[in-house]
Amino acid sequence: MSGSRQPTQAATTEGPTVGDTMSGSTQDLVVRRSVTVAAPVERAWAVYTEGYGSWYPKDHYIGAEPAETVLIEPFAGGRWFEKQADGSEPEWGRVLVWDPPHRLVLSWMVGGDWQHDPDPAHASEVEVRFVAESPDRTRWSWSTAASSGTAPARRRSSAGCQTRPRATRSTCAASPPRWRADRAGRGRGADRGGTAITEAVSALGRRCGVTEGYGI
Amino acid sequence: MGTDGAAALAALGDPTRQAIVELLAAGPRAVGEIAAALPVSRPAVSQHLKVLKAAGLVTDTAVGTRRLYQLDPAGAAAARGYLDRFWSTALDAFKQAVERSEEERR
Repeated sequence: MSGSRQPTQAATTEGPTVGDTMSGSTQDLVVRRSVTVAAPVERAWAVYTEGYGSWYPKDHYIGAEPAETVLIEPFAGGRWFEKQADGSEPEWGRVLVWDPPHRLVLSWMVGGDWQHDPDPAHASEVEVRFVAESPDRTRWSWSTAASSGTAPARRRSSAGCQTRPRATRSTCAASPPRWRADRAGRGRGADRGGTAITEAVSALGRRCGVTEGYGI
Repeated sequence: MGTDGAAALAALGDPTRQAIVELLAAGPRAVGEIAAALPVSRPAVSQHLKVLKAAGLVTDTAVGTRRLYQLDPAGAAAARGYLDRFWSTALDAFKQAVERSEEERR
């Protein structure tokens, strides 16, 4: 590896690092998704953070209509939010750790109704890592808390797990959140960062045998 | 029932329904058994099961005098497929944005 540019593999949700437990954190984290990019770690960090609005899926938004952009304020405690045409800035969450260009920890603060949920006890944490594999190659990864088990009581008390003790409207699924369905029909719902949804989908996979090739 | 991945994931945006899904991952259960395992009443469990059925994640069958609920593989596959397609799109976009930015720099 003498510094010549090498082709990188296509973005993948699989690979040897997916599922690894990250040590050295205050709680066990599991790499849920990762991708290798042909760029130095500083570039990857900058595009991910300052350039968030340039690459995130535009059909994902919590306001009344697709957002103009999404921003991450560059400091611990900073807001992670979208800008709406009407001037509102609904929050997706907060920056918990700002450690360029290696580690970003975000608090995901969007509830099951796809609205901002300001209660920090309901938030789930996401760790985004940028590891320099070489001067011009970076491994990006997204990790959330390891499974806390199946008991709801344990789940609610575990840090980093999505918790929503408030009552859910009985017509929740019958009336999808207004912003979820978009004209392309692809809707939203996946980028919640929530450990609990990931675990539930994993449970679905284990039981129904749909586990081949999935990196969750 | 539909196999709309987005609807399936939306139905999972509730901690009680997540818990029900994880319980059913271990095998079919009757409403009473689910209620006994969770800090939720039977009527609430029934309501959540209705939502999960509508989202294509759960089906039920009569076994003797009991009605058992179980996970629906089609709904499970739809949910996982939706999640994977979302991530695939997002990560491809991020990767392209990073590499394009790097090319412009050089």
